[in-house]
Amino acid sequence: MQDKIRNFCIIAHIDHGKSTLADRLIETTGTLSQREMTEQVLDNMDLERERGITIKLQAVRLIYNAQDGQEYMLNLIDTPGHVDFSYEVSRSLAACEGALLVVDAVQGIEAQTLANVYLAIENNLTIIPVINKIDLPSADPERVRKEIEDVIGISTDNAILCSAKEGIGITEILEAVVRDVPPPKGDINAPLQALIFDSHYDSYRGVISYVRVVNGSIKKGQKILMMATDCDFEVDDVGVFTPPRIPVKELGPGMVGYCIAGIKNVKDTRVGDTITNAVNPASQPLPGYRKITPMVFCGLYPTENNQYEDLKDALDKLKLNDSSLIYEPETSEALGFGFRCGFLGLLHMEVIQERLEREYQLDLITTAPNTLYRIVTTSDEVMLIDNPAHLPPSNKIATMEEPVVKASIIVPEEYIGTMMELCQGRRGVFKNMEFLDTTRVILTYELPLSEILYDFFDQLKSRSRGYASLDYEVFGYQEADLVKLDVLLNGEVVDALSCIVHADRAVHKGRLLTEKLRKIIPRQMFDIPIQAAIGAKIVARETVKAMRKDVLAKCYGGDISRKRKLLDKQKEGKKRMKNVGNVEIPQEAFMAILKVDDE
Amino acid sequence: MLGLYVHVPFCLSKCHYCDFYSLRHNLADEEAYVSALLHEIDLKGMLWGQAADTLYFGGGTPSTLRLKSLELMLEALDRNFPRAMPSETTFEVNPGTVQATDFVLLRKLGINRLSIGLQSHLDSQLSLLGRPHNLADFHNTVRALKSAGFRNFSVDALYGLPGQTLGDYLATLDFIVSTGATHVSAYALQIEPGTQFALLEQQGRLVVSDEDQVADMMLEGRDFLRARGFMHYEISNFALPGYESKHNMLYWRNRNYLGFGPSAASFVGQRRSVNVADIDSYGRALGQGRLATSACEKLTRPLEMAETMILGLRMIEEGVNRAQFALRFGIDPLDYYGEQIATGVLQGLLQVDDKTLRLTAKGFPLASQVQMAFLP
Repeated sequence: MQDKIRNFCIIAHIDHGKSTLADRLIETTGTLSQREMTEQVLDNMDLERERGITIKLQAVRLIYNAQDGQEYMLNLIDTPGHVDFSYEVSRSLAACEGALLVVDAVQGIEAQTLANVYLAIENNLTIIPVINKIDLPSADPERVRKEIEDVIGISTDNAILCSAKEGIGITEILEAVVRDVPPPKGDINAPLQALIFDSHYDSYRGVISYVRVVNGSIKKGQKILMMATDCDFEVDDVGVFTPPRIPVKELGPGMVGYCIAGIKNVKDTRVGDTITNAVNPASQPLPGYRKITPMVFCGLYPTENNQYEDLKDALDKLKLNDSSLIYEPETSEALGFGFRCGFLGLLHMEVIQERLEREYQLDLITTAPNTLYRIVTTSDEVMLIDNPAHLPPSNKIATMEEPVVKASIIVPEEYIGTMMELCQGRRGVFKNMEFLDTTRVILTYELPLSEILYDFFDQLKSRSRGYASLDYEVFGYQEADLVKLDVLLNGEVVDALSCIVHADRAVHKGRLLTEKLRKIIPRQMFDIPIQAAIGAKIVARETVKAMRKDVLAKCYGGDISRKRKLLDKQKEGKKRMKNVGNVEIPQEAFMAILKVDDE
Repeated sequence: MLGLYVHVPFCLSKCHYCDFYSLRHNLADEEAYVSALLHEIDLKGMLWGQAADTLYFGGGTPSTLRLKSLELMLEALDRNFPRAMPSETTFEVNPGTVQATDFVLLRKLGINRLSIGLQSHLDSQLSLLGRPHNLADFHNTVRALKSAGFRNFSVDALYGLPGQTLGDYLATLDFIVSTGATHVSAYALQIEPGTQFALLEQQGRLVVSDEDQVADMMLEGRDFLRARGFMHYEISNFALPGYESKHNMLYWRNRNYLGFGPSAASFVGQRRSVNVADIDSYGRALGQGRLATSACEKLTRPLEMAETMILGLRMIEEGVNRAQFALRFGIDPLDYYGEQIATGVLQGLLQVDDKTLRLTAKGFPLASQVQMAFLP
């Protein structure tokens, strides 16, 4: 049985056609009938389909009758392509023996593909290069083939030319998976070791763990032990993804599927943990995942204070299948009770926010994101600061350090200048430039992470007309001349509006920020001064003038219901604003710093 | 107390800012409309027939109707809802739509108040608004109605128009006062969805005045009219003493009224209802002996109370009468809305005495800020 199993994943850049290819593989093996196919079958989060991206990894079992006349079980584990989700990628890689490296025949290799394929090589996965979209008129598979050999340094002898859209090369891919990807090793008679590579919470069945069995087997009724949390359970159900869940009797070595064991408490199971037998447990857990540190932080607050418990509950549930999300309670004078949350990057932050609002119907206020700062105080104490409001006074700070990333930007030659200008303007330090082929280069820069948080990716895309791709990794901390910029409304500091900025540009930022806030904060019953301050020094000031007119011009017999509804709507809008002191602040004000155009 | 409103959905053309239901006038539609309307009057007469205190013909442009149609309508109304004496019967007129001789006949039919849509005394602004008349038409209309013996007439003015200065607006008011009008309705231009102006604004081709400019016109306009003997009796309405619109006062006192014609609204028996805003569906329903109601809402007690507050506060002098309110709802508004009223008073927007609850001079331009607090 085991030698008929192949576990593989797909590595691809956004837009290079991974989801379409996955759809084609599912369709060709007849796993789903034509009728059951919806586009992007594996992307079943609404958000994923809308944005055309994969966020959560998914798994599906394909039954394939190969040309050798044998029937194979192929487990495809989908992976996200975006820079923020490399953690998810490393999780899916741990459950596989092979990877399809999908590269667009027009665009060639992109920065994020590179990072993920190196990760796969490190994990000893067999790589099968797939050059996709060969049906396009401007496709240049030979150039891409050479790029793969030169840049990644792997042979392309087994590369497959394919068009997922047109259904070209699909059988070849399935054959290559059977032929080249090694079957999983593992001993059915050894004590159970199964890796939890994902999980999610189902309100009827509790926690559903996605597992890859390495040794032994798991079946209904079995008593199991979670090796890291030391909790034991009895298995209710095991099965596979087709993609809908289908129960099976047993999951043996090499198999990928799910396990339900009446686990109600989210904290009892952890992604990366190993499941073993309660009696006769394995002596060692499987190597888990590299723990990664979130570097982007923001405050999440319910608009209505009474939603705090709901928010906590929702975060607990999201954490279950996204262990990279961290959060702890915090209190803001302006916003009340909420959470400081840590994310892998900006997209990750946006995705979590949107999921909280959509899937849990929460109405949230998000503060502007910041990175994790390291501070040495004058008394030689080292502090990590994830909230600008908590920064000690400047006379207590000896040095301040911020995270720095190594950023790789792949871009066509003609945009080198604009890209360098962008990086330079963001305090970037040029490190290297290398030609990928005759037309494209990899630029390497060291950049403060905080500079990437503010609109960097959008700028990168718009200035390169969409051609540039970006990958970055945090490689350390670097001392910088940073200051805290406070915002005062009506003379009072609003803690949730404070931010940390570079000293050289603090005054300029202060001006832009107050100006932006003047436009966002609606006129109220009295003049509202908006000030930006560094320490005790006011560096910018604007005023929201008192409201002068707010009255419905006419209201006669036919208008009464409609005018009442208008007032109702206005009242709702007012309720959604946050009352700080006696000033009403709209939600978007807390993100204003991100929207000040620095150029 | 009962008021009657007849919606006449015909105009010469559609003005660029108007979102009332109306269509271009033609005889065939007028005939169908009148025949349906007569059915509606009889049906509602059977349900709610009683003496009416006020009658108001609005639109649209009621003066596009033939006099014969008007006669039929009045006959049916009087039969079902005899007009109490003295009654107020208002008829809306657009300049240039009524012949001099017809004003005499209108008076004979018992019409004793006219409301004229002027909007501005500048032809450039009239054409910007899409009004189908000019200043000369207005002059002729005023001359004709006066010679027919009408003394009680109201004139509409709009402010906050694109390109309009404070001086322009005050000149319009000055002109209106000089015609001998007894009543002025002064409205800030509101861009309503679905209008020509809304489309232009969306395309960036129409720039409306900002809040400060509009506030200036509102306050200066009020001072101007008050200095000339007009009472500022409602947010957008001014009258010489004794010439307030009784019909409209009935709305603001949250009293009962019946509406006739497509899109007309009614408020009887704690129910607000509105007729379908489509002349064909309207005619079809009544042809089958059914009322042409498209929406109906039964007011809960808290809603009715809130509406009584919201509407009452529109009346600058009268405000909400505490005793009347207590009589109607069994509780003094100060007891029911203690917190909201206290906030309004503290902000200097509301004033309370033994008898009434009113907006202050500071409060009237900010009425919505006070009013929304009363919504449940």
